[in-house]
Amino acid sequence: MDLLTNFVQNTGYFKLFEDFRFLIMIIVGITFVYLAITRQYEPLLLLPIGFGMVVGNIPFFRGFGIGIYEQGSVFNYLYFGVTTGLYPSLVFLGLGAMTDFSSLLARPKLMLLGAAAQMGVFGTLLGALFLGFAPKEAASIAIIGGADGPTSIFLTAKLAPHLIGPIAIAAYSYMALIPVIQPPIMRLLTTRKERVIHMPDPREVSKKELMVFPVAGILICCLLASTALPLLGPLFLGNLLKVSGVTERLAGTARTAIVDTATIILGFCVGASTQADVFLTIHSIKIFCLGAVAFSVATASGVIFAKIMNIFLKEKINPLLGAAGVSAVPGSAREVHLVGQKADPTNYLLMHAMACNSSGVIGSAIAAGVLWSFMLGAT
Amino acid sequence: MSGLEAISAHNGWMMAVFGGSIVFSGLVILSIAITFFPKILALLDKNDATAPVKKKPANGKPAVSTTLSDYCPSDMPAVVRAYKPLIDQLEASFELTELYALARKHQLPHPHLTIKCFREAGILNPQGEGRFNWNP
Repeated sequence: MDLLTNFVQNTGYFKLFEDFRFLIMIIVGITFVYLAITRQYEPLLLLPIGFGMVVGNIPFFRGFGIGIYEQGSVFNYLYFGVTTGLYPSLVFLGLGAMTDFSSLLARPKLMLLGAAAQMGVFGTLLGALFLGFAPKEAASIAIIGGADGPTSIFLTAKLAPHLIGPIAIAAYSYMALIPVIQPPIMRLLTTRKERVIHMPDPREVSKKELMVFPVAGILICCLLASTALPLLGPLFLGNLLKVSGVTERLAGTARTAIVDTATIILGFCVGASTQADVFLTIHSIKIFCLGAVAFSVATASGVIFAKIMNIFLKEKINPLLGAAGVSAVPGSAREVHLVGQKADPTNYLLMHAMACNSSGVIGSAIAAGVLWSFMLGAT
Repeated sequence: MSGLEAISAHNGWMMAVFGGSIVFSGLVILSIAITFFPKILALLDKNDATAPVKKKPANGKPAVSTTLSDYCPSDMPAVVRAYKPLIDQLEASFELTELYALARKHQLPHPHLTIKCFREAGILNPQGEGRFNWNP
């Protein structure tokens, strides 16, 4: 009889009733899966994360080497790629092999909008310090403003590994919620007259320019912030594989098999790392609030900076493009295009928004590198 | 510790200002560099275009120094690389129509003119009976 009682008390069902926080997290995970499938909110990210949350919150026998935080477990081995920053680097390799920088090369001034949107990162750094987070934690939270999941995970793994779960979930959630968060800010900060500004067609970019860019990019950016190397190195390598024309097979593998594998395992591990006893804390709630602020400030900074640029430019740019300066590729570019089309159905902003988006990817990686280097001596 | 005191104690203001400035400078420098790409590349192309293209001696014939036609791409090595995967699909000796058909299939621009330029540059060498071989 004791054997049966012990068994029942060690089942997940019993433990779920004992600690309802696991049940809450399972429901959140199922909600993510539901949103991914029915609403198609960033399904490539939300589905593995949501399922990982379900898996990670099934209570289990401690000490059997099952959980993601237990040394030697299968999940722990997979999680190693998250804590070392391996998966984010692989994602960046694939991202580079997918990205077409030609619209950015055609209009380099749009790169400034990607830089302006990073102000959200540094604004949030102050906010997190204000709320009492330690500097390394504050830096990890701030990078959510870059709206780049892999970058957020990478920096958090380096500075505050205990916060990977909440920060990754916050970053990916806000990326999925772009259609909800960004349009009101864009409309609030722009007039209809500004939203209907048409952008001229970008010039044709030569193949040579496309090939020189990754080499110049890695040299210029990483000589300035060498700590961005683990992200920008693979990004520009992936892009060079794509544009060189001689490594099409490698580029194809990078943008399909490698990025898909990394995304699946990264999403699953991040989801599984949200064990209720670790995740459901007051810190997580603060992180979610700061993440929302970071993302909103980043969007607003880009739009406002575009308006400031328009004061000095003869050929005006559509300020909506500033919102695409965050690095949520291609979600924010798509949203800018849709808001522009609502104001004027003949206005096609997608290509130009992608230029800002690409520079946002580079900008957020530099911001992560800079924050990491600032924190090298911090506690 | 929290509040403004925490920001000051952890050098928050400095980190925010310097961090933002560094990111901004990095992207500004990169955008300036990008602006100069076309000019620098055009300058290099100009130098390339003025250099004569030498034909390789074939079958003991004397080398002929010649300049490619105006319509030929300025960056022939890049075009040669683009055509290499197509050549790999053909036999060692092939007809130009086969190469032309493959180039069309892969949507390479202006295949007719490019093949003509390959012939002028001595990259496609006649083997007799309408067949050619590839010798970049």
